[in-house]
Amino acid sequence: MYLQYIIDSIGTGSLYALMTLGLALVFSVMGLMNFAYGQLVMIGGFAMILLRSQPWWVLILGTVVAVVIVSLLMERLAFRPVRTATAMTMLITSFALAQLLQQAARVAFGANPRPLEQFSELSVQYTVGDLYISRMTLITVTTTLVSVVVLALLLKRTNIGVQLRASTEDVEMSKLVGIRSNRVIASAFVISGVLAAIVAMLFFSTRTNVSWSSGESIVLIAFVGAVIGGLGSMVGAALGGFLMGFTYTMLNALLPVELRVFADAILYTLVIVVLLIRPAGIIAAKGVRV
Amino acid sequence: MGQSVATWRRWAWLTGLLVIPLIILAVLVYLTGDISWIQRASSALILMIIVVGLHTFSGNSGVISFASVAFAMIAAYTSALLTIPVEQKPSLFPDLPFFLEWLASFSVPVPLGILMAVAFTGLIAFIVGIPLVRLSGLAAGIGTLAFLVVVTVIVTKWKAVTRGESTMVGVPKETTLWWAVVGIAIAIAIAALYQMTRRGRRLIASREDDKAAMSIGISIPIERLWGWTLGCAIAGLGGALYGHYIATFSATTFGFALTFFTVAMLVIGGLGSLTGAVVGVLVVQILAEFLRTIETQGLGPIPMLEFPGITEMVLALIMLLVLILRPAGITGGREITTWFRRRKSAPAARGAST
Repeated sequence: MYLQYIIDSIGTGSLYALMTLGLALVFSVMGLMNFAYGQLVMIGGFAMILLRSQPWWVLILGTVVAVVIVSLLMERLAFRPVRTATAMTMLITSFALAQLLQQAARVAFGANPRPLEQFSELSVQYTVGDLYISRMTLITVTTTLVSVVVLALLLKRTNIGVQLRASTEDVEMSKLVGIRSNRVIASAFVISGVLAAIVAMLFFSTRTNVSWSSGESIVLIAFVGAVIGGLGSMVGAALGGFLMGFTYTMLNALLPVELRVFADAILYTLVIVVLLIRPAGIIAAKGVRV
Repeated sequence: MGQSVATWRRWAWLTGLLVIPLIILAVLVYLTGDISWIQRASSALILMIIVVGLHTFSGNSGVISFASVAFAMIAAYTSALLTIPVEQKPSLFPDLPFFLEWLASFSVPVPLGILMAVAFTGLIAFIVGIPLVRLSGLAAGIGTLAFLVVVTVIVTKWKAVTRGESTMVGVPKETTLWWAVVGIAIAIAIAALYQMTRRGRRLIASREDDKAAMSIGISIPIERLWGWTLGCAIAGLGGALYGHYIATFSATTFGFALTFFTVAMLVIGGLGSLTGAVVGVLVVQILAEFLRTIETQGLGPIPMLEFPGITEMVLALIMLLVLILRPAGITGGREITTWFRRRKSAPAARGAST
């Protein structure tokens, strides 16, 4: 029984971990908490609706390309001009951008949620003893693990990854040794966009519709997960996101029915407690000022 | 209070320069006799109270807070619970928990209800402020955002007391344009006084340079707690007035959308000055009403644009442009009084009035 809850919680936790990674990556490079990140996932969802009838590889590729383009435009048009402003101004800029994208989606796709035809091949359930594991949970966990490994290799082994990490450590110094910060930041937004697209595909595959307001709850989770996990640390962010998803699903399963509706309230109270004990997050990166 | 005459004079100038134009504006709107304009002006002024409350903490301390709307919500619900007529209470709240049953046995006049709601909000703010003000930067943002989520969930799910997802009804609708004017005048007067007295100056000092402030013996958590409690109580005043203005409301009335707008208005006006809070609300509200008019009925040669969300979209775009072109906001964080002083060619003492 409990094992079943744990399996379900791991599934949600992996998805949330993936959500926080894209946000944390951009933060660690330019100190920007990008509130518009959730809207990238929402745009990914609408791309899936438009490409639903295409072969699967077109759907995946199309969604990724669409989200990456929007992510890059975001960086170029909105965030580059405010890069030197205060953290507060950058945060509000991303707020305004999130609002803009959300309302644009509302104008373009209407105020009502758009139905997304289910992927029947994903809802297959496997039984192991008396445990149920859905194919979707397996895919989510695998995708998260693969993404984390690929991201780690990218950051450790490739040229752009080394430059990214150098910029994370010290922007001024990395400029002095000839790293072009524009290119590095843009590539962070590309990776963040790819992650958002992956999140969109995993997230909306289990939903029946996409709405202009879908991105809101996602960015809230990512934002909170990234901060409690430890800003500036990729491992911390993934851990924070995982803990958010894991705790939330566990709370929903274990709380008595009459308290279950307050699961969110309990989760976010725990978040405040974690912040008070470790304001810089569970795994605090060195030298990150929060 | 031990303030010098010069401080009181500066206070009177700042309050007067901000409040008098607002009163004139309100009178002009009232004289047009157009109900919809009077309504728009009232809600803009009430919103301004919440933003002034936000400024009192965030503007002076430099620490972001997403919680002011949560306190507005607490105050609106408190005042509603206190002022709904006694005879309606049993049918509206049939299952009050035992420790709140006394609420059903009486109701108070609206002004008293608002005062009690503000006091209660201040008390809650003080209690949750003790841990929350220790956070800075993004952790403060997340902490206050988490608090907003907690309050929203409780209000949405605690059906017995808040009517849950169904709207609060039966709230006396008594807030008029004049109540809103009095409310904003009080809010501005208190906020202006706070930032000129010793307590406020200490908080501003901690914003400018936390280490220097600590080195001269300022306890940042204590100063922040004062500013936080005062700011949240002011936001509560706005929330309670708003509740008695719209009379039917639910948790979604005070959600993320309102939070975004209040924070954005403060930043667009110019974070760090009371003038910025007032100007930000005025500019954004006038713009929003202008766009809404176009969306619903067209304006002159501009045809009606029947897309739900187009107003919010254009508004967000304009906010984005302001932030990109003028990151310090319209006022650049300066008070209106500095412009007057500069004209008299006295040495522009920037620090003296921010």
